[in-house]
Amino acid sequence: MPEPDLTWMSALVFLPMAFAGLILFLPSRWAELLRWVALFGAAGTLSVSLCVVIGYYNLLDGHLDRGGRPLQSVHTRLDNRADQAASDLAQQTPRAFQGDDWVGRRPWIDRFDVDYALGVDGISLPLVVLTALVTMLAVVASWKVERSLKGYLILMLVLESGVNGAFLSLDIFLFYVFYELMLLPMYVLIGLWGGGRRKYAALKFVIYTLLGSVCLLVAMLGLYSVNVRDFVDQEVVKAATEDRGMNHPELTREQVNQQVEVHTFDIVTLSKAGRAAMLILNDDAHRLAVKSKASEEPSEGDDPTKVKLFAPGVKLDEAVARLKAQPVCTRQFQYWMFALLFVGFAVKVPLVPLHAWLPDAHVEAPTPVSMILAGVLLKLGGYGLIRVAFPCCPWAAGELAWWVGLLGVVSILYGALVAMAQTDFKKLLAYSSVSHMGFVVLGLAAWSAGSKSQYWEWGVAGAVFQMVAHGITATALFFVVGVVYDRAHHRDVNRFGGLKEPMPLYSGLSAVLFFASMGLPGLCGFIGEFFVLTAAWAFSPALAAAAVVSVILTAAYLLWTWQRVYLGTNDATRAYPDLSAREACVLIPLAVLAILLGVWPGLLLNWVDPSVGGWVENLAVLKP
Amino acid sequence: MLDTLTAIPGRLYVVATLLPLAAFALLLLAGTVRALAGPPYRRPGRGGAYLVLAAMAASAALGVTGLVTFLNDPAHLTHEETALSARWSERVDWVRVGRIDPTIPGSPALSTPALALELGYRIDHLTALLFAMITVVGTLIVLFSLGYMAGETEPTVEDHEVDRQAHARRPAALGGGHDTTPPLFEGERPPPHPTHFHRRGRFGRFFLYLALFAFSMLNLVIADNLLQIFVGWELVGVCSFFLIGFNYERPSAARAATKAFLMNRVGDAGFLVAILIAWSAFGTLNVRDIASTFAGGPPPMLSYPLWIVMGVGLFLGCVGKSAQMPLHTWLPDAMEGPTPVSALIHAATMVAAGVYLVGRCYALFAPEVLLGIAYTGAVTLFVAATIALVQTDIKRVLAFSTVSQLGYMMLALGVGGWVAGLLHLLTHAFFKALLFLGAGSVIHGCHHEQDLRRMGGLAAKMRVTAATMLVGVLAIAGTPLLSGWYSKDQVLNAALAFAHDRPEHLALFVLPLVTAGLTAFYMARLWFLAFTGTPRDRHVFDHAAESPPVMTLPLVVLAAFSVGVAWGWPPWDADASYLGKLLHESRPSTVADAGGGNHLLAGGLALLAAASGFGFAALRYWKRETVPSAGPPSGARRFLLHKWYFDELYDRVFVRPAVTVSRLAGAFDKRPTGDAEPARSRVDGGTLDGWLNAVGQGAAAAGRSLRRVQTGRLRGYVLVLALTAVAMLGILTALAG
Amino acid sequence: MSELGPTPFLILAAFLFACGVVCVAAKRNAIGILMGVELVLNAANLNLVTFARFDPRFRLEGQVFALLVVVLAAAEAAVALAIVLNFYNTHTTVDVDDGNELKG
Repeated sequence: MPEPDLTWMSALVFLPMAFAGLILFLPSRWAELLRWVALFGAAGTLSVSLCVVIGYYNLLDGHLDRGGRPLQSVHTRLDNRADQAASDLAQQTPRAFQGDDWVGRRPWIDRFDVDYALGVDGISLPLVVLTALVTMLAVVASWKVERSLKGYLILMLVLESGVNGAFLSLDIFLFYVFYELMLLPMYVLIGLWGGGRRKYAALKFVIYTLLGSVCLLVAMLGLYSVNVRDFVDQEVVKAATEDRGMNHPELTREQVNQQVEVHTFDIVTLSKAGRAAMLILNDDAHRLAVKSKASEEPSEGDDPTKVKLFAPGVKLDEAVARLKAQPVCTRQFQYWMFALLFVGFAVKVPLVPLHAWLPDAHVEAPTPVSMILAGVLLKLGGYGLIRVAFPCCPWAAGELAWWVGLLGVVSILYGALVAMAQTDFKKLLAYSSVSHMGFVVLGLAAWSAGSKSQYWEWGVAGAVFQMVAHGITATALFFVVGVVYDRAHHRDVNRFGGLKEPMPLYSGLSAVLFFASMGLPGLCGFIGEFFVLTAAWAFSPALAAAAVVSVILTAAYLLWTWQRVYLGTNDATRAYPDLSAREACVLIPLAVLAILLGVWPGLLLNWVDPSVGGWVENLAVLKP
Repeated sequence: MLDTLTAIPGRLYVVATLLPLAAFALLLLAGTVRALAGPPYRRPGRGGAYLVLAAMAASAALGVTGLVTFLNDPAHLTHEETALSARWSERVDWVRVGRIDPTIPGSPALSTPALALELGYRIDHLTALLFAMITVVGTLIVLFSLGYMAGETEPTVEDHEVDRQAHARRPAALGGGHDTTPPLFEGERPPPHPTHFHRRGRFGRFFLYLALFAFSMLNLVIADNLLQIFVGWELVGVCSFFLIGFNYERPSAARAATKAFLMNRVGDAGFLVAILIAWSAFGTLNVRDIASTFAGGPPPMLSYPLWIVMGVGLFLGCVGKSAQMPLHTWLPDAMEGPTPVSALIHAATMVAAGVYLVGRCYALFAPEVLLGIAYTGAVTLFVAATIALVQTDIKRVLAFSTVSQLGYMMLALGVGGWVAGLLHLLTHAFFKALLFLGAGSVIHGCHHEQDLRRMGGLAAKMRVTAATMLVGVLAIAGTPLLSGWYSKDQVLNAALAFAHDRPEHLALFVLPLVTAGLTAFYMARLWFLAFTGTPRDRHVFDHAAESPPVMTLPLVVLAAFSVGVAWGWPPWDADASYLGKLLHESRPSTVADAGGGNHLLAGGLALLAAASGFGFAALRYWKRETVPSAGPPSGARRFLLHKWYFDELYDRVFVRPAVTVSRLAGAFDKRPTGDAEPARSRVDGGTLDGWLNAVGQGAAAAGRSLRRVQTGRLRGYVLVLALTAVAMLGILTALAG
Repeated sequence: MSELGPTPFLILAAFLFACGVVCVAAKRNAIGILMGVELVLNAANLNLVTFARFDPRFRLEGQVFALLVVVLAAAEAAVALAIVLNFYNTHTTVDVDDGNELKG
């Protein structure tokens, strides 16, 4: 059955890989052709991602609520769309798949209930577009790479495939596969094309990331152990009952039915189980309710305190009893799962003290790889927290929110302080990444519940925005370093100076990006940080006040760098040529985006917000 | 198109605000295209400057039109608030976040909405007056800049100052130069060996920054919510940063720019905290909405301590921007920027933004905070005036004078003289812009000589400049019938009234009174030193010349404003000032009507102080040839020359510790450096990276030790195998048994 | 003649097994070790046959597995002798202590 949205999304994931395959068959002496093919592939992926944006926008536009906004409509919620798709798939006489709901699901490994499930919502889509854009710019920035060019370009495109796949997966198993898939190209890219200590840095990167992956793997298996039979479409249970009944003819149908267990890697289903577990742990089991159909519109008569989680056709009492008997409803289980998921993703964010791989990896990686690393890979950590860790273990997340926020604040301040002490331009930016990504975690952790839950929404929206904004500024700033490194062949900020006079265009664009990174209003860095701070203040003034200090620290280290690199006079730099056309092609789009998103955040938030709203509503109702 | 613009008269102001932005965008685009085209760089064009001038002039025309229209709005007569609001204010959502939409029935009720960040403007008397002032002064200063910055139109410009600072590695003589501040950060590279430094002219860039500044400042003034004010607040800070660092090759300029931005950021952090408090307590940032909840004491959603914190945070922002104690040290250093910048940004408009914000958010301040504001202002005005007494750089005298005058405004606001403070803001903008432009004219005429000790007798050569500057000096000193007199009189009156009610705060009256005398003294000293007596430096005097008309014309216009901007009828009554009456219209409801009781006493004392200060200066400097501050400075003098040692104090207390802490953090996070692969077994004890690596190294060490077991001897393996089998058998039987 | 029962056969098998293990562990000559391995295998075979004889449940399995082991032993001997031969070619000795290439 053709399903256009699944085709588009699969294209997004596999198009770069296809181009990588194409490059594989081209002779490596045609270097210029290879570059253009890679660029074409990356640009094609960007185009596809923009098409998906349009499609998703149409989806939002087609389901407006009474206020004329897409926020209240369940048809735009990822979880409802995913439920509908899963339900369609589960029917014995298969229903026609919806080709415009931007969720697609096909069985992949039946034996382990693994699906090939892709889905788009406002949280993943901006990151996908960012990935496509950054990869394309990184390919442009790699024009001067000569050594084993073919392998380099192939790895870069495979990396893009992995990242896109991870962003689009709705199945933890699939997510994990893509998550690991992108690890290997990165390892090789740092390890072969890096600087003097590339082996050390690459090994460190891999070991740290694998540490995180192991945590994820364990958590994944733990979540798989949960019996989710009351959360999936009951056709699945029926089919399983018949299947088992045939093997055990001695049992009655009722007994068989009682014995049936359903396990899944589906994130949406697991998050429902997690939410139900949270209600049970909070002694709010009476608020659990059964849905009337897979994708249910809220109606006027609904009891607002009820949380509809169980699948249609489930008997509420039995379901609650079954759930209560499971280990998923124990505190230990929730704490462990959340801790494992959190550590797994915190390595990637990275949070202090698990950040140690980042400066080394950045310093040793070639410029384009640094751009991708900072611009895209770090976002996977934040994205994983939003997509997996918080929804699947909401109870523990809520209990530990303050501590998570504290870790975020520590990262913010520690990263800024350490950045101030650096003299290596790239290392400085690496630490500033640690500092900026701390805001993402702080925004997620600012779980204000009850009548203040809209503040949390600012925080989550701010976290998503901050990821995109940091993706833009960090990518650009690493390229800024790359440009000057090409001319000076060192990165010691103390030995630069006076770049503003010989390189006016470069300095102007750098200024935009420096100030965007600093969080100047009117540029993209401000929005995310401000949103996060508003949420943080409503959550815990102490955390927010500490985070506000970073406003000063960030300005201090960036301005000091600005002063040392761009101002003053320096005979060594007087003859540097300004940006070439190719370099300008990389920096100008990023600078324009930095300004555009800063002036008009709605450009992004208009379609991020409905998803964030749904996400927050799912979780915020759980905490009284 | 035109209809939408004229549908609401308030949109006039939006257009006037956006005009400079359009000019900025055009210039930025042109500059980018030109840079993309690449070298060879041509002679900087004048087109950009004319574009900015045109935009500013149009803004000024709109600003004045708007002011007139606003004042004549019939709704004033009937006091129809809503009608006035509908015509002179608008708000739209900038960002709306959240699933909750109050327009939909059944949405949860929220105690604090916090749903949308808005953009909006709101025009009242204060805004309209300030807007007109900013655009008019701005236009005049842009005009002046056309002449002052003419040197920048050359393809190459020689910057002697760069060479001079490169020569003088150790700090220059006290009080004489720009280099008295310690380096902001350690580790600044020594400048390269002295050469005749040449650079390209930057004519267009200057006006580019000015255009952005104008937009940001106007946006700040018309904004109706704290966030938009904050946006403007930061943007003017950035423009200030770039303009102070206009001659960024000079280490002193680069340092001063960084210092200014950082000190402002300290204040901004406070402002940000205030915004966060307001947002989480009220769910809106609209100043009027927030203020309306303050009818008599703090609203229930805001606890008293938080109210205080919010006020302090807000005021901290104002302290930073308006260079009040203890964040005042950036403003004198900011004089590194070109003189028109000092006039526009660091005297007339941006630094007054802090005062404006205190006035705008007056209802948000707790009484304790207001008292704090008053004392901050009082201390600042006195300290800055004492420092100004001994300065010999013509711009630095004016800079400290600005700090001092801003202190007057803050003091007035703090003691309840809302109208007095803001009136002083307006009058000060004119006469201080005049003074700075006059100084600029002198500097321009003397070929970038700023040292008063090398001037003298210039009145003969620069008649217009000397005359207009004298007007400025008299105005700031508080000469009756000049604009400064009206405002200063009201300020002192308010202070006296306050001290009368609460005698324990007598200092709030005494300090400004004494300072009135000091002000007259140092301003007169400046004028006498520069324009009278015999020339102390023949070389400077011989080459001095009056500036071109494009520079003197703004001087004359500003002088006219400095004289008459505050006049009313009858002119000899300070309370009758028309400007003051207009301001009175928009005073916040919590401000009592200004009582005019002690006018004669306050005014008389102030006049006495000013006259004695002026007279003393005349005695000392008029027609004297003595070079001031020759010889080693004495104790008190040294103290003042070091500006009460604030820079040194901050350097020791904040800058160095911050750098040290960051170094420690960096050392704590240390990782291998250099280009070689680090030794695998080395453990960096005491560093985070080392500890984390040690975990990995521990695993490796465990592997190494386990390696010994694999002897490679077959017989050993078999033995172990057999023994293990026996042992397991034994365990199994034991368990089974 | 009375039925002996499985015990003497099992004891014999255990004795053979122990001899085989000791031989493997103590001998340095590769051929000797091979002989020890044969002893171990045959001890196992004896066990299998014993149970095939005395336990009706394993009548068939015991014999089948015994035959399997015989075949296995033959194959093992062939491969092992080939290894020994190669070992001799490279080390000019069949002393297994000289083969320490697998030392970790």
